[in-house]
Amino acid sequence: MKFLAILKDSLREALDTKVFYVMVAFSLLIIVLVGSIGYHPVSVEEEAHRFADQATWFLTHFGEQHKMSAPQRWDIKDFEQTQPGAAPWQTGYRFALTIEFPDEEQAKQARKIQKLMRDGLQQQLRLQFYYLKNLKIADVEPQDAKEVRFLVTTEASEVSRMQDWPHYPVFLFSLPLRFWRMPVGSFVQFWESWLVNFFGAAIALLISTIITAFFIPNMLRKGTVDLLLVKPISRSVLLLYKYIGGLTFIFLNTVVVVVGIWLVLGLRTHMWGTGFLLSIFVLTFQFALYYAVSTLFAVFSRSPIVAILMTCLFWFVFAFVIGYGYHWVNPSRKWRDVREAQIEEGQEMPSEKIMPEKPFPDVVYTTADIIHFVTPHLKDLDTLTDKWVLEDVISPDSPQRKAAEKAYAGFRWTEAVSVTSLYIVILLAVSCWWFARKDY
Amino acid sequence: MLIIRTDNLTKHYGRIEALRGVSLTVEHGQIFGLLGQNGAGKTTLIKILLGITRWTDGTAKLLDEPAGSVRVRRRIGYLPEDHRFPDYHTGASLLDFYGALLEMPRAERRKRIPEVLELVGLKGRMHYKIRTYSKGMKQRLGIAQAIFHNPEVIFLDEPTDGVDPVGRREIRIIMQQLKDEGKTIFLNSHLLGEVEQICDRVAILQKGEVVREGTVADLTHLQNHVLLGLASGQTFPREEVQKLGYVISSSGEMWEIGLRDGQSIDPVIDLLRSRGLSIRHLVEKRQTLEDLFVQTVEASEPGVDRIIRHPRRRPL
Repeated sequence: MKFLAILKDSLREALDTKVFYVMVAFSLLIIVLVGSIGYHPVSVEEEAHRFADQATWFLTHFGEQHKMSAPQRWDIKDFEQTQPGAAPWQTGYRFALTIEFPDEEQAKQARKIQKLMRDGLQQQLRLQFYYLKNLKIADVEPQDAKEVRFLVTTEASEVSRMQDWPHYPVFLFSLPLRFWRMPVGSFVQFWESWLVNFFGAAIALLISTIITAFFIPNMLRKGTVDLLLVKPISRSVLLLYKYIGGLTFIFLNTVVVVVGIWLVLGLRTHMWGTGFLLSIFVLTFQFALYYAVSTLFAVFSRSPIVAILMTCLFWFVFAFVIGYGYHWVNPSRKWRDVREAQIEEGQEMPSEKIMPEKPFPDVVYTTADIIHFVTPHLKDLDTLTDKWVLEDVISPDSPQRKAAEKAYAGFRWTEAVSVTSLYIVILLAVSCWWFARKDY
Repeated sequence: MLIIRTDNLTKHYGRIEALRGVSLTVEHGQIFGLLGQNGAGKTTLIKILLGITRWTDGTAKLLDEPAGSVRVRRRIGYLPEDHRFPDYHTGASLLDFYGALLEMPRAERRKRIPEVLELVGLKGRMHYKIRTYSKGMKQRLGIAQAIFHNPEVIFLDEPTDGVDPVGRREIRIIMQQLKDEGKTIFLNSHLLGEVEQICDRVAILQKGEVVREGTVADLTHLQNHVLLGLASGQTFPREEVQKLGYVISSSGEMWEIGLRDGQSIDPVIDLLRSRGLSIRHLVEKRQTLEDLFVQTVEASEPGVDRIIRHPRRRPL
């Protein structure tokens, strides 16, 4: 009952602050923005026409410098699916790519180097249509003396579901970004990781810290704390309940935001993986650490400003400087390991300029390891969320997933959670000890 | 039955000696007044009894338990001097919150909230935010929260501070009602007139020490001083009375007669009767609590905190 009373009191206090409404408005805005993004499957026919139009435009504007590139018009003709009516990823395609020259002479010259052109075109088209399988290009007889004609054929893609087919986003229900093409899963992974690691871990946690930083100093104000200390509740329990009250409030808020985003993304993409929902616990866990820091300084100083500033300093030092610093130093050691393995296997070595064999002396890695081990693993926790989201929305055999899994293999998640938990416990224990022995 | 008992209670704040061997007792059902100048240690004493502040030496017991223990705290109510209620609460929600911390069942809280707020005259504003309350209303709310859970002992630190005369009278009536219900009230107030009216016992704290303690009647009673008044138009035979060995001084329309040890007023009365004079007033002279207080504190330095002097260390 006491815990619920303090929780309700914390909620009432939070609702009384304007910052809370800013946070709610900000969260709703994010949910609405994410919900306003639609994902349209890429059409091979449209893409082929766009490819031809872009080539025409490019050659018209920049082709004068090249002798072989007189004004010419690229076009797509006789486009057809090999399995009419099938989904875009379940059918092969066949179309003619034509290049129309201003006169027959130029076309005749071009046909002389048609094989060379064909090889270059095939390379370009395979890049453009990376999602299509076995794209081939062949010379065919022109139907006009002024043109050069190629036949492009593809087989059905290896994609087995709609989400893995490239899509482009349409922002605010009407603003398409056709140049940004990814499978829907990659979009979902991008948004979810961005929302957790940028909006969640940085902005939302900062706002949450500001909102909750007032809870404990307000409780400790002269004339307020007396009224609580005479109640039949021990000081440590009172402080811990207040702490858990603030934490629960942020947890509930995180649930609303994350579930809201998950719902709108699910409705938009039909991807209902639950990995993103686990970020609720990671974000709350991260906030638990920040709030423990805030609580410690609130108990020491009784000032919300000091609590906020010290929490921000803690975030800057541990999450930003140490977290990002370690995530920058650590892979360079892995690179060295990879490089040594490559040397052993006699593989080609990368350039010394780009990737030096030993970017840092061993003492740097040892120091980085020690600092990383004894400090809260905040950045690792961000990566943990990335991992869950990735496993949820990216298919196991995709190169993106394989590369990420290789990178995640080095992280020790149990260590990250244990060390961070230990920090929370120590910070709260010191806070309780100080609060319990202080005269008010 | 002793409700409060302190023995040789001492409190140091660093080098400041806030309480110096305070020993006092408060019995069940009493209204006990604690008087003293600012900085005399009154609030420190209350905070020690409530467990808000820890004592340095001595003992303090409340309801037969060590002062400040969690079990005791269920049975006490407290209104601090400079209380500051969270202003995001309404009067009703604040009582509900404090009631929940006091482990009162929800049904009981719902029943008691309007009752108590009606008692202090706040029922009409019970659903308004506290930030809209006047100082007097906040003080009434403070009293309401102190008595909300029907405690056995109530500590009131300046309960009438900021309350208008009508409100003060109402608070006095509430305190009297609580006393009639068998509650013990520990009152800390600067309004000596009120303390005199309502308290059974008082103690005067000066520089962390109890310098006077007793019932109001005992403390204000002036031994061996009698006030005597004659009927209108009659002349007091001052010289003849002085010849009997009494010390006489005028006190308005009356005469104050000082009695030496073992002296009785009877010879004076006999003399006046033999002269055919009519005695209209004959009372033992009392002083007000304010007189007593001023007299007590003037006898010593102002109530500043005492600094403990440590012997200076000599360099080796």
